[in-house]
Amino acid sequence: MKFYFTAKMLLRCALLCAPAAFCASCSERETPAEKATEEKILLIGNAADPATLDPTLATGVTESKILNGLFEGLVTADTSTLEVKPAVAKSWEISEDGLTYTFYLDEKAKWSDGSRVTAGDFVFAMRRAVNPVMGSEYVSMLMPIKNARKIASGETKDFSILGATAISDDILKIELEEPVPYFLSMLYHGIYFPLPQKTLEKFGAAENRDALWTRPQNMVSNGPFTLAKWNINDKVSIRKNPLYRDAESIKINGVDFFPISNINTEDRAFRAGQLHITESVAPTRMDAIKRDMPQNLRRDDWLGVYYYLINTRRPPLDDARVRKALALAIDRKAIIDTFLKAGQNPATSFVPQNCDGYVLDGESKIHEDIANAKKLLAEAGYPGGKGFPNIRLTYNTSELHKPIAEAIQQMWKKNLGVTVEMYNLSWPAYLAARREGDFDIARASWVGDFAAPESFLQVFESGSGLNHSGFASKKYDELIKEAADSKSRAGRLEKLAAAERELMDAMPVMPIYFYAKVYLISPDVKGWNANLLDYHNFKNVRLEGAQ
Amino acid sequence: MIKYFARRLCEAVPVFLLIVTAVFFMVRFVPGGPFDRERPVAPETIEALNAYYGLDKPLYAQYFSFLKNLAHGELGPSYKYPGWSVNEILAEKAAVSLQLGAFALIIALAIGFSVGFAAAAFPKGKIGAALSGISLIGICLPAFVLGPILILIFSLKLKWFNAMGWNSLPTDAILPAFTLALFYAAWIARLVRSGVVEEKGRQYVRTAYAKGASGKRVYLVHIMRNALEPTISYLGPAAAGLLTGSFVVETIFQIPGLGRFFISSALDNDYTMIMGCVMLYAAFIIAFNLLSDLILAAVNPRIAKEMKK
Repeated sequence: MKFYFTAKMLLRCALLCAPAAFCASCSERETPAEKATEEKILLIGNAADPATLDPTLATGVTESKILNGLFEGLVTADTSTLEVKPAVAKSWEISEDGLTYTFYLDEKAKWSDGSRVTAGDFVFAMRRAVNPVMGSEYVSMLMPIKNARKIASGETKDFSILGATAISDDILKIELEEPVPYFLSMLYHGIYFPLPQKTLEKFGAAENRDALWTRPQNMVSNGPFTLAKWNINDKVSIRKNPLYRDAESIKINGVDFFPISNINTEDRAFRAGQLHITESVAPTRMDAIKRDMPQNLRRDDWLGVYYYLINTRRPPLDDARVRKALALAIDRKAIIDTFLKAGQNPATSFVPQNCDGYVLDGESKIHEDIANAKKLLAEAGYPGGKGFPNIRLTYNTSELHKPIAEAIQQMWKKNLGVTVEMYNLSWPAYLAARREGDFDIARASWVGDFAAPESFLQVFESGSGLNHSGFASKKYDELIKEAADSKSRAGRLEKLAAAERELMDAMPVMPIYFYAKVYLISPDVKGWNANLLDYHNFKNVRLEGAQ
Repeated sequence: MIKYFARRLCEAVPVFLLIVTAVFFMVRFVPGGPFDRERPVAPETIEALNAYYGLDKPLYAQYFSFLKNLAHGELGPSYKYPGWSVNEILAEKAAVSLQLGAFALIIALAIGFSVGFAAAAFPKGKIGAALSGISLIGICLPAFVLGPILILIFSLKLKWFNAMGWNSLPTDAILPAFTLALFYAAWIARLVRSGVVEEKGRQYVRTAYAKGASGKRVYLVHIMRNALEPTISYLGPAAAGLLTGSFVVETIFQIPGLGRFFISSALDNDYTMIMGCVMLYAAFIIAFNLLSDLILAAVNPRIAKEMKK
C-alpha cells in the first residue's frame, strides 16, 4: 500500500523535474540581449503598451518613442543639443513677422509603399488632427496654426481655411495666428508627422478613430523603421525601412519595445540579459545597483517637475504668505536623498534649469528657509501654527507619492507646527478632484512637450485647462504674450523670467524636484544621447558587442 | 440528468444578466471618465469622444444598446486602445491565459494529488507532517514572493530560463505556471489528504477490507469516490480562476494574458473592456461550477439521484 503511493509520487516528481534537468544542460546559453546585439536589434523596456500607433491619437511618452522610429516630421532635433535639424524638410524660410513658415521638402522622402511624401500628406495630417470627430487629445499643439481653433471647436467645417497649404508637392506653407518663437521645436512632435492619405482612406481612417490602418500588415510610414509586429502587452517590433530617404545612415536593423509595467520585472529582465535599456530603475534597488553594476546606471536631466499644487481659493491658502511659508519649509534635498536616490535636482523654480537657455535669477528661486517661513506664517495670523485650520494633502495612489507626502507632512509639523491630513485617491478620482477644485493641496507633475520655458509657464495662464490652482494674474498672462511678440530671443527669455517671478511670488505651486531619467543601459548600446526631452532617434543608435 | 443540466443552464442566464447589469451601472458611477487625463483635454474633444462612443446618450439607452450588441456577440471598441475591439483583445489574451492556466492546472493537479495521497498514506508519521507542512507553506506563500524567488534562482543564478516574456522560448511557461500552480496544488493536497483520511476510518472501508477487497481496489473504488468530493467542488472555481489569468503572475513574468486587463481596464475606466473581462470571468465561473457538479454526479450516484429530483 505505502509503496504504491510513494513509488507513484516519486515517478511524478521525476517527470516534473525532467524539463529543469534538460535546461541544466543549456546553462551557458547566449542571453537574448547578446543575440540581439549580434542581430543589431535593440531591446528596450517601454513601461506600458502603446494605446495607439496613430500619430493623431497618440498621447503618451510610450507611444511617441515608437512613433519617432516609424515616422519622420518636417524637422528633427539633435539628440544631444535639441537643436532643430532638417528632416523631411531640407530647408525652410520664416517670414519677417514670424507668421509664415515655408518648408521645402526632400524629394527623396518616401513612404514605405514607395510613394512620395508630399506637402499634401502634411496638410492631410494636420486637418485630420484638428477635426473634432477624431477627438485628438494633443490638438492643443496645433493651436498656433491659423484657424485651427475655429475648426477644432466645431465653429466651422471648412477645413480649407486651416493655415497649412501645399503650394506644390515639394513646398508646404504654414501660417500662424500669432508669432510663436519656438514653433520649429513643436514640429518634431508626433502630431505634426505626415500621414499616408491613400492608406488611411483605404482603411476608412480619414475620419475614424477605430480603423485598422495601424496594424503591422496595413501600416505605411515614412520613418527609418516600419512596424513589423504589435502584440498587445507582449511587444512592438519595428524593423529597418529600406525605402527611408537616408537608409544608409541607419546603424541597427530594428527595435523591440517591451511594455513592462512593473519596474522590478524590468530590473530582473535587464539582469537576465533580456533588455539593452530599461525605462526606469526602482529607487529601492538604487543602492544595490550603485554597488553592483554602476557601469550600467545612467541619469539624465529630464524636462519635468514634481510639484504640489495649491488651491488659492480656499482659506487659509488664499493668503500668499501661507503658501510661501509652506513652500519654504520643505527640505527638498532630504526628499531626493531618501526616496529618489538618483541625485535629481531640487526644484527651486517651476521651469526646469537649462531649458532652451532660460535662467531665473537666484533671488526669485525658492530655498529652504525655516526662519522666514515661520515669520510669514506668523504675519498671516498663525504664529507657530496656532489656529491653523486642518487642511488636506491629496495625492494619487503610488509607491512614491505617499512617502514623499508623509515626509512633507512631518516637515510642516516640525518646522511650522502645521498639521495636514493625508488624502489618498485613485487616479481617476484624483483627476476629477483636481478638475473640480476639490482639494487644498494636491500632488502634481508636469513634463514639457517641447524644449521651451513656455511649455511650463503656459500651465498657469488664467485660461489654461491645467491651472486648477485658481491663480489668475493679468500681468502674468500679459508677460507671456509679450514674450511671444518680442523680436529678440534675449528679450523673450527676459519676459518669461519676469512671468515666472510673478508666479513664484504668488506661489500657487510648490516645486519639489526636477525629473531625471534614471535607467539601466547595456555597454553594447552606443549613441544613446542624453537630452532634456528624452528624445531619441533610433537611426543614430549603434549596437556593438564586446569583442 | 439532462433535465438537471438544462435547469442549471436556465438558472445561469439570469445570474449572468444580473452580474452584467450590476457591473454596467457600477463602473459608470466611479468618479472620472474614460477620457480623463492629467493633461487637459479640451471640452469639445471630450464631447466628440463621448459622441463617438455613444456616451452622450442617457444611461438606459446606453444599457439597451449594450445588450443589443451583446446579443450579437459584439462587445464594442476598447476606449483605451482605439482600433482594437474588445472581442479581438479578449480572444488574443484569453488564448495565452488558457495555455498558461491549463499548464498550471496540470501541475497543480499532479502535485496536489501526489502530495495529498502521500500525506494521507502516512497520516501520523514524520513524512505526513512534513508533507502537510509543505502544503501549508504553498498556501501561505503568495505569488509575488514565490515568483521573484524562482526567477532569482532559476533565471539570474542558474540561467536556465528567461526572467520574463512569453513564447520567445518554449521554456518560458515553466516558471509562471509553477508560480501560479503552487497555491492551488497546496489546497488540492490538503483537501485530498483530509478527504482520504476521513473516509479511511469509515465503516464501509472496514467492510470492504473484511470482504477481502484488495488495498488498491478499496482506495480507487471505495475511498476515492467519496474522498474527492470536496476537491472536485473546489476545482470548479479554481479552474475558472487559473484559466482566466492572474494579474500578479502576469505582471511578474510579463505575460500578455487576460489577468492584467482585469485591473488595468478598471484603472483606465475602459468601460467596454471591464464589461468584457467581467462577462468572461462570470461565464467561466458559471461553466466550471456546473462542470464540477456534473463530475460530482458522475462520481457519486447519491448526488446524481438528488439531481434527478
